[in-house]
Amino acid sequence: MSSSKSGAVIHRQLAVIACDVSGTLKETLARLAGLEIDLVCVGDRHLVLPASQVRAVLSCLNQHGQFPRLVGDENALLDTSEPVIDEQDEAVEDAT
Amino acid sequence: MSNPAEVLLQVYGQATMARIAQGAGATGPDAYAALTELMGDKTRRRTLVDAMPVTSRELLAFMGQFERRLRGERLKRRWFLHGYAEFEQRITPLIEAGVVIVGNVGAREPLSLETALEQGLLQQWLQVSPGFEGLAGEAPKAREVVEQFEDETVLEVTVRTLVLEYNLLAAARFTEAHKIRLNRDGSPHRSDLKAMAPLIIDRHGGGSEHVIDPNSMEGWDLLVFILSIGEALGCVERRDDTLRARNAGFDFFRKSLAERIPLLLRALETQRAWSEVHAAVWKATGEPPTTGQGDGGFLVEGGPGANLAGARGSVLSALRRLQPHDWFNIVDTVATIGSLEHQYLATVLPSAGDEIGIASFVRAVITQTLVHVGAVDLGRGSDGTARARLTPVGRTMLGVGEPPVEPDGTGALMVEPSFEITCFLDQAPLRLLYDLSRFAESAHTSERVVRYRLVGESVQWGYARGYTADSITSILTTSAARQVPGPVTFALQDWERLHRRVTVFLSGDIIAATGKSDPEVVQSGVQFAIDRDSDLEIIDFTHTFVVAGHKEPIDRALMAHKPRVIDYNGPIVPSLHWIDDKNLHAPLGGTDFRLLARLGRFCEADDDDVFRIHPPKIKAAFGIEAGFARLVQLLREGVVGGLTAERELQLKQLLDDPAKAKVETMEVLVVGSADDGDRIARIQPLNEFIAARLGPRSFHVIPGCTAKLLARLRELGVKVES
Repeated sequence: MSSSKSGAVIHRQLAVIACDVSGTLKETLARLAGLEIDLVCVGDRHLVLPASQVRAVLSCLNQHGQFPRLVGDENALLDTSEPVIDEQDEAVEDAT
Repeated sequence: MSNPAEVLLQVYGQATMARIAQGAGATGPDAYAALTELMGDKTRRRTLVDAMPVTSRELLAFMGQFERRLRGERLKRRWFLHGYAEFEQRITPLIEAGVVIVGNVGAREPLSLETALEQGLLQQWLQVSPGFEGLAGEAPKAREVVEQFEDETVLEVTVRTLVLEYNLLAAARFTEAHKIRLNRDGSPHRSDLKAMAPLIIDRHGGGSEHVIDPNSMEGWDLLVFILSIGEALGCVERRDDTLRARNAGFDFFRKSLAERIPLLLRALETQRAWSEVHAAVWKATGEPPTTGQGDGGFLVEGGPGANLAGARGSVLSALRRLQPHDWFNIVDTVATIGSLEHQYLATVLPSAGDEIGIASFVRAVITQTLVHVGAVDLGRGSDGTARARLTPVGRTMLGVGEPPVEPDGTGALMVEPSFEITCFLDQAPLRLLYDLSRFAESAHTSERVVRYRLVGESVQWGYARGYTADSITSILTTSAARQVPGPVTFALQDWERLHRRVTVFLSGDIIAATGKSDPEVVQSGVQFAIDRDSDLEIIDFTHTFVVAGHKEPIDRALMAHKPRVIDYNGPIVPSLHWIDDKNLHAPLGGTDFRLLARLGRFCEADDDDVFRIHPPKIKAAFGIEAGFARLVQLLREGVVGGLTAERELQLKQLLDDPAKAKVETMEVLVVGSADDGDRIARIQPLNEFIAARLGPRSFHVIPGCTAKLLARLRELGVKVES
């Protein structure tokens, strides 16, 4: 992909964590240190990551007792990727 | 006036005259002549009417009021609503005697009475035969269709509408955090219903003492009804194979009772997952359904109750016309409504549209549907008969009463210094319960009291949804019987301070200026294109974040800059360039953020856009071998043009693990590993020294070229043993 002629890049499907001060950013980074996610610091107060990974971040922050302000469609956070098993099949699986 | 017999002949034809003459008691060899003689005399006509049974004369007098023809079905309904039954039994003698005509007087062709009756009495026009008007006297007085009782009725089942609404709220709140999985037939998983059950109040009270069980008939019935109504109200929706909250539908909980009642009525009629036909069977057997039969199915389209909207409306309409003022007998009322609406219900009820099916459906609407929403109370008379009565909400739903006054919430709460909130449902409007569900966690429920607890998690969850410390304090203060304790207001402020420190923008696009573009121009163009400031977050001079949903304005604003797109749902986009053996250039704004995140594990940033490979960091994080493998993988994906074998050999040397090779004879080169063998094979310039690859690790060197080959390998960082 040639980039020489492009004057701008649109990075689609990203999430941003905005902190009030750089100290909060460091604190947040420390909380998220154990996660296998593609998290990048941009500037002094912002973290950037793929939107598909934001659920893991929120879950981690929640575990630390932090419930940040959310902006955007929370429905996107819902996990519908897990295949649904009919409860009759589930019962058979449980039995076996 | 012409003789009534002439009209009868015109309507029925000659073939029916014998039957009518016999019914009227006119004897003679010529039936029509005998009939003409009888009906031509007013005195004899009066005698004929007087000879009719009293019950038939009452109906005749009633028909005389209309002075026009009516369809049989309509006449029968009016007769019922006048307070009388046995329509067919009463009208038959009148028809047989020619006092009432079945059919169209103005028809060109006669239609025999036999044929008309075969086509269905209720489908035909009915009218008093000319000359018989006024002969039956006064119409009987109207009676109350639904008999009222003077004896005492013991209240057995009552459900308050607020309790149903609380349950709807609890289900919606539950599905915000958890999904309810659906089986193949669309019915909800009972294990998920079980997880929701402790939040639900049933008429026996909820909470730890009594948790409803989805494996019981009552529990299944109530839980499916709540979700079904919730879906019809738009608070819950099917998403893929699960039920989830639909926040756009939560507006219902913020409306006044007067606004909610019509919405509840509509939801009750149009709900699709819960069906009276199924519910009647569950109740009759006392067992919940077997999974897989479609009961309680939230299907993608349709559903067991989807086609019952008209039937429900028909029963409610009949109940409205009956206007029961107090307790009424359920069995009698079911029979009356069944008769009134038989014609319609028989056509719309699925498969069970016979008498039993209709009665069962009407009974289920009165004793289950309306009870679930708090529109009907159930009781028992002193004679043991089952009775029901409309509640004020039920009267409002049917349009025969004013909506009850909803409490304003004053004194509904007690806020304890322990952060516990006691809410008295009798004094609480739904709006207050909705607010509490947004920032407090439900700790215990019973029929009249719900206990909540304020914790950091629940309050910050509320802050994330637009509440503030001040607004929560205001809500609590307005409804609290006593002053809100100081520690509570202090904690609310403190939690808000914590909450405000971090904002997560869940999904959107970052627009970055690259190349020779002026970042200020790019950024101001984006700012101009997005009309809501709250949807923008300026990260720095180069990067601007825009909340999802502004694709077209962004594309328009950046058209002149010919933007590249990196989609983070797709593969990594190569964006790195080598500066030298150790340093990589990652163009500012133009590099895939996933690469930047991963480079940080292997490199030190010497500048905003220059990354130096840092062997100690790699060794510490992964070890040499694994670190090298990961680094090679990353650079193969991330470097524009991929990673050459030469670079890979150089990287090995950089990590202090150079590829190894030795000359075992003057003509054979053996390298340390098969991977290094592959790398050497991929280096095109080395081919002029190599005659052939002998195996994964060995090469046949062209005679006379060994020294040159080794020199070249040394240049590439290969440690060569002699």
